Amino acid sequence: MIEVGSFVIMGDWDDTPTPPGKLRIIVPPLGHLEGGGWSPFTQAALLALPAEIKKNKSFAEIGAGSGILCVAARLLGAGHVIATELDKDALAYLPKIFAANGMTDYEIIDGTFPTTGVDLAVCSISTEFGQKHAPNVDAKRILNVNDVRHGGEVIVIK
Amino acid sequence: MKRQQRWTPDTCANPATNDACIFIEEWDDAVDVYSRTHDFVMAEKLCSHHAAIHGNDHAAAFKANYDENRRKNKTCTVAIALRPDLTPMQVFEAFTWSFDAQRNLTVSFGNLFNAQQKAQLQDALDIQFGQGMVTMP
Repeated sequence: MIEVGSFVIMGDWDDTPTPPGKLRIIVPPLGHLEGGGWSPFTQAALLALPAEIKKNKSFAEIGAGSGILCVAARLLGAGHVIATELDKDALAYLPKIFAANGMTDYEIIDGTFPTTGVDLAVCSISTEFGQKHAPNVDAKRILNVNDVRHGGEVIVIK
Repeated sequence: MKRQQRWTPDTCANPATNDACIFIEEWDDAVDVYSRTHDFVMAEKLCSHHAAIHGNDHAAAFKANYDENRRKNKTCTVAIALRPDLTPMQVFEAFTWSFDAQRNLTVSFGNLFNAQQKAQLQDALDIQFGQGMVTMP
């Protein structure tokens, strides 16, 4: 179990009860995918999301990787969830983690950006990528997770 | 442009005694370094472990080697992330690993992790790779 702020990240084999007051993210084995709950990027974003997610508002993660942030957004009450990704292994994995967490209203895009406007977009690829490309995303609010050494840092771009 | 190179994994049966696989692999340098894949071309030989498991299926042996090597490398990446108070080099230098004949990966970081940190690391590795895919004594 990995505990990050409001969340616990647990393997899909783990039948340990969810600690009181925590939201449980169920994770099938990731293999070589990025975005495991141990990474500073993911942890920084998980800590920022509770204050950012608005009930039933749409959410997109650019470069979703494991999809953990999409699951977290849904658990916090987000409406339509969009995951964009280029990596073929991640594209094959995303339906598995969404299914493991009982998600049905989602969209996986084999590409870089959402094709429709969203309320909140999170980009956790790299500092440079986020600063260069995230402003072009059609979103009311955009967060970029910077790769600060020894820990992620969430920057509001819009 | 397609490039080829000879690859001898450091995760085979016993590279120190040349009991290691040797592959020719190929990649496309037009693809950015984060997205490119290394593909099997041929095997010059297999180590005793991979030969016993994969026989003449050299492509399967290559894929197994590729996965095992990445698992070993990512294990160190996870450990580095969980000890931000240390430099990556400190963690890397303490890192040792071995694969048994069934290709189970056992790792050690010497005395760098106390019992609680070790439990956290094991949890993170289980979530990353699945239970029992990486073990620490």
